[in-house]
Amino acid sequence: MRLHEYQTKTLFERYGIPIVNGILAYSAAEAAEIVATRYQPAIINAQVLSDERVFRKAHSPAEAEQIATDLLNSTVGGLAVRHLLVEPWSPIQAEYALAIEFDRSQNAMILAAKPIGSAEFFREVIDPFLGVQIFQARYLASKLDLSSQYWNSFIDIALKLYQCFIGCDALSARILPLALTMPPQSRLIALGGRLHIDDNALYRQNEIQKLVTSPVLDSETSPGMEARIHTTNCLGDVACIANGTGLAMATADIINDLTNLCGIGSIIDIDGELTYQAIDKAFTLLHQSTRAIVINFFCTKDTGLHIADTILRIIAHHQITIPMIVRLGGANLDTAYQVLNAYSANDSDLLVTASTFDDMRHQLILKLTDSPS
Amino acid sequence: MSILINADTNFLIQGITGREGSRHTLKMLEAGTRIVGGVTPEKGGDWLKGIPVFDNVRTAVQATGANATIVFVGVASAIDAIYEAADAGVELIVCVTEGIPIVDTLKLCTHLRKEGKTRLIGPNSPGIVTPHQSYAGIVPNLALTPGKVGVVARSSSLAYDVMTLMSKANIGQSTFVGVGGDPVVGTTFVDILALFEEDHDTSSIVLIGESGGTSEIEAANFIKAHMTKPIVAYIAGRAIPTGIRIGHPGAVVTTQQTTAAAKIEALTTADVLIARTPEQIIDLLLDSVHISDQ
Repeated sequence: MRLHEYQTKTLFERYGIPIVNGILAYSAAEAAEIVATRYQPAIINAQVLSDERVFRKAHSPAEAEQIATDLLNSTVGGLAVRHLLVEPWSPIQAEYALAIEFDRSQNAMILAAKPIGSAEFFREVIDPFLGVQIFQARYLASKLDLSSQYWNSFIDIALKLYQCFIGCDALSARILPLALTMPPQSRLIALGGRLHIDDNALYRQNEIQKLVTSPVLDSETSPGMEARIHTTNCLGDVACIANGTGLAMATADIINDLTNLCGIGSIIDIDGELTYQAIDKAFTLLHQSTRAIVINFFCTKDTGLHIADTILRIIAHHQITIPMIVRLGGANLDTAYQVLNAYSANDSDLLVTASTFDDMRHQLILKLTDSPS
Repeated sequence: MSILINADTNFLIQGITGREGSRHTLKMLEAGTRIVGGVTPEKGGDWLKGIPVFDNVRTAVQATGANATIVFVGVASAIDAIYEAADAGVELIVCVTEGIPIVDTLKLCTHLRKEGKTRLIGPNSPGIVTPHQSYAGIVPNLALTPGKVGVVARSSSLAYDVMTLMSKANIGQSTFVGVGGDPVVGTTFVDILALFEEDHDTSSIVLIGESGGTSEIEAANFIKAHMTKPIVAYIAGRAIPTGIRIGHPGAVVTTQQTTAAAKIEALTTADVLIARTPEQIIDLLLDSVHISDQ
């Protein structure tokens, strides 16, 4: 789960990482009010769950209102901006990036830093039993063009960032930028930041769950509550429903290979048993713009007929009016296919069965070419 | 022969009295798996289908001589259960539990690697099967047939689907290993490939991978340097854009190297036969590997 910058900074502060305090604004008027009464000049920062950071400087309440209006009517990384973080502007002389990330290819946690604008990070591998060591942070500090008088404060922030990373069960904790403010009170502060929390650890992160009151899962995969359904929305117009990640991706690949005809839209992965509730829920997650559905279920021993039956009941319940291609995998599926084929012949030829992955592709082509959208 | 497990492997079931644990214990017993004991704290002294239940792993190992364990323990206690099994000297641990926080797994795997005595399969693994000998995990009692093809996969239902197709084509398996869908797992494709290469009863290998992570790239490098047996690979997720997570936490495509396309390219340069659909795996085994002649 990704956190917004303002949520991230709240957590940073708890771990003693220096930040600038800001106030959240939900409208242009609120932003103007904050600038009028608190911060002049101010930085108005769009809060969106994207890696892109969009902010502007406002010198007056009127300018703040204009900037806020613009930002609230804009999108960042394809996501609508719904709220803004208004902060006092800080004069800065240098900017760095400091991050702790989980690196999959190395199977390790990495402490990384670089001056902003430089392409390469300097990296240190963190021993999961020892945590970030002072010498590692000092080594990174010495690699940045940072005067040695600030090294201790850099080390302190790096150690606290590690405490925050572990304490919040993060997969990634970034300070971006870590800014060195102008004299006379030059100091290092976390002007921006991003935390990405491990979904698997949310069960023991009650504080973070409380912090996140608004739905932050905007465009990310959101695990369905009851049946553990993972949905991913791609831009295409043909959806697939499958049980299991690998099977869902294999089905999506078949659809996406037909580049001239269609593209993959929603990928719906039912994790667990194929109950009526689970399949029914999957159908409710379909996008309105969906032109066809490919259903691909692996049926465990002797469940095929029951699953075929369930699919037909759900189709009737949802009154589906677009083509559906159904493939079942597994053993002893003859009667299941008979039931589906009988429906196709007698009730609605919107449903067709496919015996193989290749047949699935073939049937999809037939359906898409004889039913123009 | 086979890899990791055979008819002589003596299993413990950790979490044997839980809902999942007891359900799958019965299925494994039906399939002929040798289960010598179970562990559930505070339930020591109970019995389940003639299997003695112990309070802790050390006692269970001393009493039964178990050399492997399957972990069905819930998320909050699973990591502790694995440390306990490793401490008791169990050589093979299959962790079925899914949803363990990544940093916990990272620590665990670092510890196990340092100790070098225990092999962990998973977490989030469907299990291991050596057909007609031993079924460990939640792999449904598929109509698997003994044979000469080693199968290793990250995802479960896709692997079941492929193995069912193999069985229909009379192609049997030496051993199936589901390494697990999590980003950090105890045993990787490379580890399993090395075991299959050494196994006299495995003549060729099917590798089922997916987008996300770099384990297929590492497998390709290993294959180039060390493998002599023919390998057929299928990589799911060509359609998945960068940065999107599908189901498995492990399936997040973050950089170019983790895309299905990059993996297919790396495996191709390692002379691995690439199937474009799951069914093509069978075609390649029959037509290019000539599995039926072996």
